[in-house]
Amino acid sequence: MTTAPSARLREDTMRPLMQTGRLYYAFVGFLLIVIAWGMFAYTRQLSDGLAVTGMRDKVSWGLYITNFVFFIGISHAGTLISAILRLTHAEWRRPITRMAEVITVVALMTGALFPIFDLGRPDRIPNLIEHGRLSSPIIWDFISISTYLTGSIIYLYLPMIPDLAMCRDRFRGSAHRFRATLYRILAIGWKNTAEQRRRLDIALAVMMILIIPIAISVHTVVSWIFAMTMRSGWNSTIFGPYFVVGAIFSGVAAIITVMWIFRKAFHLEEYITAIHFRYLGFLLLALDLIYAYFTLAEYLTTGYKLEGGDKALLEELMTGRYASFFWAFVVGGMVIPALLIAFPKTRTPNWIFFASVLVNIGMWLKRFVIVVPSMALPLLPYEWGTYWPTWVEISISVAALAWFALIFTLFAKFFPIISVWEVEEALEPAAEGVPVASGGPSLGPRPLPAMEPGGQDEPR
Amino acid sequence: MSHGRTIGNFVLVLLLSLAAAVPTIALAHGDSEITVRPSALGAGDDLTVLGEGFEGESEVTISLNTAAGSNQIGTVMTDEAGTFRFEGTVPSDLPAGNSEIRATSGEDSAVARITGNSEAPVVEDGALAVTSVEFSAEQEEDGHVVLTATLTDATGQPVADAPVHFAILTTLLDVTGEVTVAEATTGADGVAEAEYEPTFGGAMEAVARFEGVGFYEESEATATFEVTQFEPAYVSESSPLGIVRDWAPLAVGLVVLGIWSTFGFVIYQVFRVARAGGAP
Repeated sequence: MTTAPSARLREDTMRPLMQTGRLYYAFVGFLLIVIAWGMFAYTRQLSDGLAVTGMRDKVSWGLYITNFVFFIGISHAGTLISAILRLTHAEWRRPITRMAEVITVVALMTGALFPIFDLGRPDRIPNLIEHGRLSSPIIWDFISISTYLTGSIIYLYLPMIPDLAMCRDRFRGSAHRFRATLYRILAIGWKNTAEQRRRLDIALAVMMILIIPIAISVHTVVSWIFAMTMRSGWNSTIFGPYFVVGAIFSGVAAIITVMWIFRKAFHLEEYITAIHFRYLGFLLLALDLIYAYFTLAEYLTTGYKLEGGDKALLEELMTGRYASFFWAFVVGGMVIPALLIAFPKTRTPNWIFFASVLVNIGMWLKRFVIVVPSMALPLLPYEWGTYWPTWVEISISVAALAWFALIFTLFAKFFPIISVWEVEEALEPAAEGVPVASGGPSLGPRPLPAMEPGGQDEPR
Repeated sequence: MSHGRTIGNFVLVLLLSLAAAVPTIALAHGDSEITVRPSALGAGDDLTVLGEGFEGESEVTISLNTAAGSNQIGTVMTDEAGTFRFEGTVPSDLPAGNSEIRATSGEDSAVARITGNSEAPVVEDGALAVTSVEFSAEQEEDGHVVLTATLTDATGQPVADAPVHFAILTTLLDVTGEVTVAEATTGADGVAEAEYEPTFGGAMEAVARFEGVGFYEESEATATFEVTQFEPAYVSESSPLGIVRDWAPLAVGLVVLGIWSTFGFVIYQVFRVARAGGAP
């Protein structure tokens, strides 16, 4: 049985699946053109080698590795945040978990491409497995990212099963035969029986616990690619937690950004309310302060000792050629977002969205000043290396961003972007002892009072 | 005008005379000679060195040059005609084989060959420049490798007191180079022997090299040998974390295996969900 709010919820979430406007096709077409241009640039790189990039013998990591760290970072958004919020029974999580989980999978699928771009000779990828050594952080990265991607796909899929059944029922017998078949297969015969709910509960509970250490391990290992190297700026003991906090920080910002876009595009204001922005804003602020603390600890301890290489690196970061990047990150990526969220007047969805965009830009710049200056710093006291990305690198990077957007866009066209059964749990309180919801497992405390339409009040 | 021409002619004649005198003096230097008696000598024997063609009333240094180097054995003054007679004693460390007695005074120098072996002929200057090395290397039962090089001159006489360097050829990143492993000095029989403790095994190639001393030019020879037992150059001391290092890959592997097994368990639950719904 579905109530009126529940029925409206289903209609609102199913509408993007049923109707496709010209704007959607235009947007997809635009993304495809950008991707095609990036593929063209990549063919140039394949045919002419990495000489077409700005990378040289001294600065051999540039835009690609910066993007790799950035996308792996925002992948933490999802699964980790979703799992933590589910585990802690944060009720306001319900409309945003699906988006968070999708971000993880899509960001991983995008981020994992960049080491391949950076290789120059992708035909040598099998060497990683064939001749890999366990003492190499690259191997750890390969294992942890592939494990995380697999886990994230499973963790995305599990809570989708009841919603896939809803789609199956909706498209049964319709003219959309491909979709009908797709939903029928993916819904694996979900009928919301007690046994099915029990099994799904078990699977979800296991995954939401397991995915947290996996997610933390991924970005720790990414940081160790740098920290296991004797280079100024990378030779740090706190890089593991520093990177994890940075990843969650940029990940939360990514959730807010995506949430704001889908809220506007799909008119989901009734379900993604101001309070979701406010709560995620508070989370963003807390992570901002923690990340600022880590940044202070990292640079203060290094700067106080002023060892030769570190001294030169710090001078370049603070007042030299990379100062504009560094201070743009500090001011634009940490200070201004913190102020925007801290003041009640600007603690609105739009301003929080703006703050999250600034955080994402700032965190990208931060990854850039981690990767490039340390490589440009000469190991012997000779001249600095130089790096500036070429059109090939920029084209491939922009194409990767378009790829990220395209997968997200296609996902939103085929699957509900809001976890319907989870929101319905909140909308439809169950009787004592009776499994709740119209179609989902019984995770989380229940029942919940319904959220007020209009989306300005807190869920209770 | 006539007086001036006379002066000019005089200067010209003077300059020509001076120019002609220079090669005459040089020729005189080049004409210095010495004779050593007897030519076959033993350590401690009396020897006489007769010299001529040196600058008059100058000090001449008499030295014995062997493969081991130069050894001054005395000095003598020349007479007005530039001749001298030196009588001395052969040093006790005169090696077997050919050596040379050199008399040096300023730019004047003369050499005479002598031999420490009365049965061996004294060869002319230049013939001794060529040396040859016979080299062999073999691993003993206790593991060390004996490197044996025999150095002889052009007449087949052993070259004594000659330093010989032994090196093994190693290859790193397709570049082959030499690593010196031992040095030895040839004995009276011209044999230099050294021991080498190998730090790695397999087929090896070694070189014995005499770099040349005095009138002896350099020569070298290579030998190959098989190393079946060896001691590594160093062994990492086991640290308290050694057990962690040894077992870490297994532990991490088990963790990864555990995670993937859990994924399998979750997939199994999905499969059971499908079965509970009656789906195929």
